[in-house]
Amino acid sequence: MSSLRQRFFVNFWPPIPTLVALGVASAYYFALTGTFWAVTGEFTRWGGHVLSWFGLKPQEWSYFKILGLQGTPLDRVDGVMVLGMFLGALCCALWAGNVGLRRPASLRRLVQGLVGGIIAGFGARLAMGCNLAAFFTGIPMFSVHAWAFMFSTVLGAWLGVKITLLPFLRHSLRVQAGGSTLPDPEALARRTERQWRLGWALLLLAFAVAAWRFEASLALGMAFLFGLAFGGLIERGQICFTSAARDLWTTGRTKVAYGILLGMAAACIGTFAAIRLGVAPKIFWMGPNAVLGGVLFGLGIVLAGGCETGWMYRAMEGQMHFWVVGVGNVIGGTLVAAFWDELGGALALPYPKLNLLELFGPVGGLLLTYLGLALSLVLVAANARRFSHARKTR
Amino acid sequence: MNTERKPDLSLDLRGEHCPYNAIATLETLRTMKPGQLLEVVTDCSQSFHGIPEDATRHGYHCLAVEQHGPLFRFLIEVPSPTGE
Repeated sequence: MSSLRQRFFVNFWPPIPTLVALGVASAYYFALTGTFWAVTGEFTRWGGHVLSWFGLKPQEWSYFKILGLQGTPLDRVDGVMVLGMFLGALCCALWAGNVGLRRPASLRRLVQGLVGGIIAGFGARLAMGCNLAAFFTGIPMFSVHAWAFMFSTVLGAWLGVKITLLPFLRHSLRVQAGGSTLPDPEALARRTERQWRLGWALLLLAFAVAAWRFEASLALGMAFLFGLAFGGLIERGQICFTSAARDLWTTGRTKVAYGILLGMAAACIGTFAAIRLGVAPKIFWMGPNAVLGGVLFGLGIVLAGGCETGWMYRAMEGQMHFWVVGVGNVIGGTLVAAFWDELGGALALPYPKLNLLELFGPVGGLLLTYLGLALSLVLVAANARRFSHARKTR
Repeated sequence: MNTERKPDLSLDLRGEHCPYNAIATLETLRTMKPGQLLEVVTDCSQSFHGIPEDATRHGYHCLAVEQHGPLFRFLIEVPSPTGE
């Protein structure tokens, strides 16, 4: 039992199989709820709720007419799914004894997180989705705008790396001779045990919430359960979409990028099946908004250190920096909603919603998607060669 | 494994997030001599996958990855040029 616990509940899971599991789960989620796995739309609605407390009427804004702002988060598929993600990530972090308040390195870093979060939230909502809806679950919708967003995000991440590594954003290295003192093993063991039990108590509570939402509707109950799984998986696998885009430019990491591409490959056939059976795919405008949004999103997530799903599980682990990034995301998304008439009117609404399955037929669209994913895999591998054994050639 | 061996240098990255963790680790390793051992301590869970992958890709040996509650500890060796 203790070795099972160590293996599955403490040790992190390898990212590639975890991402494939996320891809498969996201396809089922789409078939069951009729919407894709997405989070930023819900964050923006939170911004709308906050504004309405101050007497504004965001429900009359055109952007919230697209998104919908009825009821509370608990009455919406996206809302219960996001709540599920937070609880799932928290359960998993507790089981691993990995919850603890982590203070940010400096105030400057915190401001950087807020600014990055705002830019990322703004870019994501401009393109109608984040690393999920306009990327990981957008490409399996066969929406062309998701491809534009993905490549623009990688480009934006390059800009983000340039800014992030500027001298005024670097801290001096804290290096000392010899080893450092680690926490007392006995105190640590007691703390781990407490968190382990707390994690199970929280899961019981989550099941009670699930039962309550199933009473309201099947879609709400399922969305909550899937949220638990999504949040648990991203925490267990430490799935960082930011790293996938950013580290193409910094150190040449490949694992997460491969995992994301393979996860989408696994999702595509599932979403394709659901679409063939009549579930309507979510297709968005292929306008400058997708490209500009992608660049801003890529820049913002690198500056902040995490994207919309990244901050969620890190915040649950107690990384205070990412609480601020999350607030930034909500602010950024809400800004898009506030200026949507100007932004959308110029950058999105006049452009067509391009669906690969309609443009090239079902077989052609599916084939083209897999070809695109394969080409992306090759590009990631070719890029990584720039970094291999860089030390030896120097 | 080699956890008994005392590291030559220790890099404290608590409170920092990516990419600073990865960059700082590689920068510190570059200043070290062959055969030396670097200890890295972070509180960012993501570095659990990232730092070993980066160290290996850049030609170093990641000898140990440990979790101590919300802290993560890595031991990375600068390989000797004469061989393994």
